Amino acid sequence: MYKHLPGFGVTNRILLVEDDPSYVRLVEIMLEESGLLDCEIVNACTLSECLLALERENFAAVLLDLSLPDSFGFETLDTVLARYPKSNIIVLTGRTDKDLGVLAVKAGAQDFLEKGEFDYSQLAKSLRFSIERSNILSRLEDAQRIGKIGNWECRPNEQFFFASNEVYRIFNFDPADAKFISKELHNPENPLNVLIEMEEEAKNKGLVKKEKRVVLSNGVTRFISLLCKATETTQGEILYSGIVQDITEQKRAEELRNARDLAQESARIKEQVIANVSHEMRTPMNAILGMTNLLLQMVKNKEEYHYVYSIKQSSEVLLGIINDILQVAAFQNNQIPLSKKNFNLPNLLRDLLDALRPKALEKKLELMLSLPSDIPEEMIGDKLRLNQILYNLVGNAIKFTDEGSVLVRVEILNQIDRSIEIRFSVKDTGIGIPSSKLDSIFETFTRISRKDRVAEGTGLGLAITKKLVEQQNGKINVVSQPGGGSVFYFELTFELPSSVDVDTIKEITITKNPYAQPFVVLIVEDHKMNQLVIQRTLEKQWENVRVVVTSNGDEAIERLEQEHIDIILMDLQMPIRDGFETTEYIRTNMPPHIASIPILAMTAHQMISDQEKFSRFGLDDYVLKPFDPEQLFEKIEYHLAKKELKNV
Amino acid sequence: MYNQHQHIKLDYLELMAGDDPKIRQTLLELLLSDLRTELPRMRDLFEAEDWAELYRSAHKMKSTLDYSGNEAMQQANLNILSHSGDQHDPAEVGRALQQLEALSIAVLVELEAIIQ
Repeated sequence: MYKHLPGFGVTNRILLVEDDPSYVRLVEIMLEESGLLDCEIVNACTLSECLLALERENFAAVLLDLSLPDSFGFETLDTVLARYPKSNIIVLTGRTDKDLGVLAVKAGAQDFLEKGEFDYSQLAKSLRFSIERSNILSRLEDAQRIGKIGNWECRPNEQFFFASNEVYRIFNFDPADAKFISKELHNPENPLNVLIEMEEEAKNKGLVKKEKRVVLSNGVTRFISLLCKATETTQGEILYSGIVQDITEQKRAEELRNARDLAQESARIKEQVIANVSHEMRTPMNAILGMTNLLLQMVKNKEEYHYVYSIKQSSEVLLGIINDILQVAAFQNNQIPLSKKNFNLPNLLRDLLDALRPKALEKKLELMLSLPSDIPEEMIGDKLRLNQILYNLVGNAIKFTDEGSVLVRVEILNQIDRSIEIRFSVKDTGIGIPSSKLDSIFETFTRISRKDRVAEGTGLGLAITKKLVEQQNGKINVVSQPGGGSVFYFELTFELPSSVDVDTIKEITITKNPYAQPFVVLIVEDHKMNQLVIQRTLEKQWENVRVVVTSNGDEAIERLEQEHIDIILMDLQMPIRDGFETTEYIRTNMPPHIASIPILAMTAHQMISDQEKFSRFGLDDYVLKPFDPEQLFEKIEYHLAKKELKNV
Repeated sequence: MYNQHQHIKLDYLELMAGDDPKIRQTLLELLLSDLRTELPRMRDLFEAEDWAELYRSAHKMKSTLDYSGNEAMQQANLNILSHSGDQHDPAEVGRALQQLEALSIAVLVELEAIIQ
């Protein structure tokens, strides 16, 4: 709350402790005449009245006559100071009691005035100075309390020690009770003994600064910063002064920062290790999946098929987890490139829902799509990433919904020129998310546990989803209530192709069997066994495929010049002319109908997934070795269909 | 599956061959031929300190050894791959090559027996 600063713009209330009414009147007149001080006098005739008044109110100053009906001499001052040590007291003494006045100042009074010896101006000045001094000290104390910093002075020769109230508070003393003299600090049990240690060092060095950890009498540990300066007087006496600051909060914050940094570093290392291990696991996982696929074609009865199919399903789940981990690591290393290609949004959504519908049907859930009629069909963006985001969200919605429905809604928020802002939302009637989890739901390794079952997955799906949205400058959010379902929604902006683009470039969808007609695959691979295996795998899959095998880039170029080829599978590391060089040559030096043939890299190098490297050499896509036949077939189909549509 | 051989494991090769005995036989012969020709070549390249070519040879051998199923040989070959090329370490390559050669003796014997 805002308050007036003491002493400024307020009437100063002064307590005059005096039993002689004529003297009281005299003081009132003097102060009125002086005009130096805006004040109001409150009179107390006895010590008891004085104490009562001080209990009720803080006076700007107390004019204290030491001779009162119920108290006399120095005892009067002692009593008042003992009860109200912060009182701003000016002692009024008789003409013969000047020594008493001096003693009173030493004991804590601000000033003394000899009755009959001062005029109105001296009285007003003394009051004004003492009030201002008192106010300054009060503000200094406030500042020290806020800053948790106190000051102290020590004159060992005089056994003098002064410490501001904050010093006492820092060391867990009540400032009203604890006032030490110099020699008491030498007691090693006294927490302020650290000041003596500082003095001893400062004696030689002049200035000493230290940080210390102290355990206080109440068992609390504090960190303090100490500064001590030694000054030698002209008489050879050494005086010490210094400051004490409680830096516990800063230290704790520093400790927390360090702990946080350490935790972040540990997490980073942990994730890197996991990513490395996952990377190593992907190759054998691909082999397991590849062989399982082959095995599925060979099994002879239902039971065997069931077993092998279970292996395939579990392997796919495991590979999905590995890929999630690798993707998180790739985000951390900024290795996820975005593509900007034409795609058909309604088709993407329908395909996505078709893919997830079996899962929804298993749980008897209704899976719905709400698409505005005016949604443009074609837009430009990263279809793969959008698909991944929606797949994660719809997949989660199905996973956490036991009855009811999952609705995917698309809304146009804004459409200006060739830019369209779209909100996608996935609404379910599932278990919902507790409010305590809402803030962390998009963090890595966060999972929603359910009473009746073990949480599935790695807890990475939503973290990846959020990253994918943010990477496209979008925002993702969730509204949810436990038991009341959830709505995940995100907004993305896409470019719209020009009308010419829309007419000429169509979304690639496999709408017909592209293999009704014979097609030719050129294998460029120097390894004889691999040649044989790829050739055999392709021929087993398609009856209408013709496979041409070459062992290096030069041979491949020669065959390309001689016969019609539909697609090329290119090993990257080969003698004579490697896959990169060969691709570059085909793209830049051969006639357009050859230069435009789709080329898929076949490699064991994971780095090939680096988009930049890919397109730099003109490769269309890649298949990792040892290869997954299904992936190989899918990619061949996709690129052949794309080529066919381009030709159309 | 019960592995009737001590030093080679033909699961991958047989899966890739499917149920075609001809392909199986061809793959086995190619495996034998690769091991017979490529290992001495690797030794020559090592002695000639042709690190780039040795790297390429080990890369080729990586695919070959997938069909042998001999994990120790695969690992030794991976060591050659990682210690040859630009950042070569002759001592490591020498050790790994020696290991590869030693392991190949039993593998070759077993392979020849299967083929016959």
